[in-house]
Amino acid sequence: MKAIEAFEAYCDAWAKHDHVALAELFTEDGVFEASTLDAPVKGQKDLKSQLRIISNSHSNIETETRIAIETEKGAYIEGTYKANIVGAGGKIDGSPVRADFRYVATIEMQNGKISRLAEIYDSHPFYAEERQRVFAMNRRSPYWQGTVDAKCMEWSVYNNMFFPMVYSRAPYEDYAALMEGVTLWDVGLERQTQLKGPDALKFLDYLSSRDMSAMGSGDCRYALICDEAGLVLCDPVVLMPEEDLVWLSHGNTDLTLWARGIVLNSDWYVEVSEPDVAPLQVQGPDSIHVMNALCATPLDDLKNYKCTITEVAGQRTVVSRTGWSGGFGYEIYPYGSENAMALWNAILEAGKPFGIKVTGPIVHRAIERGVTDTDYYSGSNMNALEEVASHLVDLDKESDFIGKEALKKISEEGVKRHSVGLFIDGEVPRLEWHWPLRGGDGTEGIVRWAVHSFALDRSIGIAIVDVSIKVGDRVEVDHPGGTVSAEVTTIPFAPRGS
Amino acid sequence: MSNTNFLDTYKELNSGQLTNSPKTVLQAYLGAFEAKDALAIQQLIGDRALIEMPLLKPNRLFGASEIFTGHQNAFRSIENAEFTFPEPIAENDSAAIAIGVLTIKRKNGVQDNHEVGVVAEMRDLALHRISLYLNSRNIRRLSDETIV
Repeated sequence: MKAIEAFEAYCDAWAKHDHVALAELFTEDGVFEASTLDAPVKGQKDLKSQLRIISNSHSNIETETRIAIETEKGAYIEGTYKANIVGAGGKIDGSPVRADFRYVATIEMQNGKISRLAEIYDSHPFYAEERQRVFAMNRRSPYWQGTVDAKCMEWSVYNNMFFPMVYSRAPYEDYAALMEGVTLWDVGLERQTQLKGPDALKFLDYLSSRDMSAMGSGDCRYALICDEAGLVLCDPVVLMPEEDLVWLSHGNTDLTLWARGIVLNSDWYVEVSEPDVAPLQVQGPDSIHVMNALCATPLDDLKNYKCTITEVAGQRTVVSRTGWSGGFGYEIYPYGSENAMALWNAILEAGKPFGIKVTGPIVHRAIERGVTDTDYYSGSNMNALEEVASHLVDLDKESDFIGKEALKKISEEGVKRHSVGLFIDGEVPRLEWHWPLRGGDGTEGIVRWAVHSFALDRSIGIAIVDVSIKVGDRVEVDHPGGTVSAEVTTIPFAPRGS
Repeated sequence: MSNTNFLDTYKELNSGQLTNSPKTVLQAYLGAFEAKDALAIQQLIGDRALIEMPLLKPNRLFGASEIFTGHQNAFRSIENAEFTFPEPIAENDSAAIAIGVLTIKRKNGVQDNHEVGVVAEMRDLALHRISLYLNSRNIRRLSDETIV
């Protein structure tokens, strides 16, 4: 095959999303370079992987060749590439987020196949002109500069701290990094409510609807914290790094203030504070390789929902086998933040051989696994029996807990709402605020999460609905793009590892 | 290291020693750019041509006046510019393409290398457009910074 013919086949394969055909146009050690890639992609295995990621990131791909000139080694091409970015949820005006650019390319051929194809283009369409502006009334995490350097474009606010959410990449690239490689996520905003003292465990058990009395040093548990009415305040991951020391790694709630208020003028022999601990998440199948390269002791035997005290890049740290991805990974809790950026940079360096990507919360995967967040509960006046993790309410536990009586009453009277999954027809815009939902008999609900599922190649959502709405029912959802139909289903949508 | 003295090409084209082909016109433009000669570029390009360069504000210059002013503004901050093409410029009847590296050293001492592709397109024997494609990720952080 000659160069220009090979390039026409290349364009045709892009339009068909055929990453295998794309890769097979190259020689065994063929090289693909492009202006948005961090490094050249070399060899059939990496070509198939990277071209699949790019192909799955885009839809409605159109290419046009404007000029094609043969050269001694192959050809030079000038062309255009146009596509929608999948899973980005569209712009505020409803128009799709696009990856449109013009490029020049050089193709080198060897025995009828492409030995090298390099595309040069202005990467401007892929980056914001300027990062989101922020205000000094909120805190920055100690990893702030790392997130800016990694081209974070959008932040939310969580526990009065800026929460890096979206980076300058197509959503599927982050998803693929989580499922196949390794990601680094600044969760310095996950503050710790520290309980220290002889009553630390008993006080924890009093705060939580779940029986925590058997927790010991090295254990982690997922828990619900409710108020006196049984309404969920937050859903922390609880760690017990040492005897008489508990950390509640909590969501967007001032749990420390709540706990301090309860302890104030009480008989609890416990000290409540917020230590200077700013966590990171290292998630994905390659996370163990990155962590073992940095940890004083290997983590191979650290089981799910266990933690250990070790050194990571020379810094004293608690490491847990936990995370928000619904998959395999670690959370790192350094004792003190004074060397935060040194830790950040060490993880990035150790992650380079594995193509580590700095990401925000990979919401697409979390929803596929039925993982939600604090706002799901606390922003909807949800009682603990209505939510996805209602199994964490142990009304039979001997000890008292805040909200027990209220939840017992709710249980006796019957739960009025429950959480369900939705298969939503069509593409969904980015969920900026919650969407109303109506059942067939006029009962109402609210869609709290909605994304494109890459595993299922359809739109999915999680909603709180009247208890009369059941799996299999069809409901109507009002989102900014219009009113669409949805089918009620179970959660999670995809099994672990799918 | 540049494999062609583009400034010589510009002089030879200007003096009529070379015919007006896409490759020679492109070489002449590159030579005038390296010489930071905005007037020469204006005279080379003519009145109805388009020059595009990302990271130049504005990044589309149309017609003699815009082309002169745009390049003059750009050259004010450049100490030195050099195009290096490891492979020869490719040409057909109506277009030429060169792919290599553009090294810009600014007067503030900052130097950047950018992968560059340059396309020159002719129509009716006259230069219609020159488009520069730059991989400038190393300086395009979160602002729409110009390189010149």
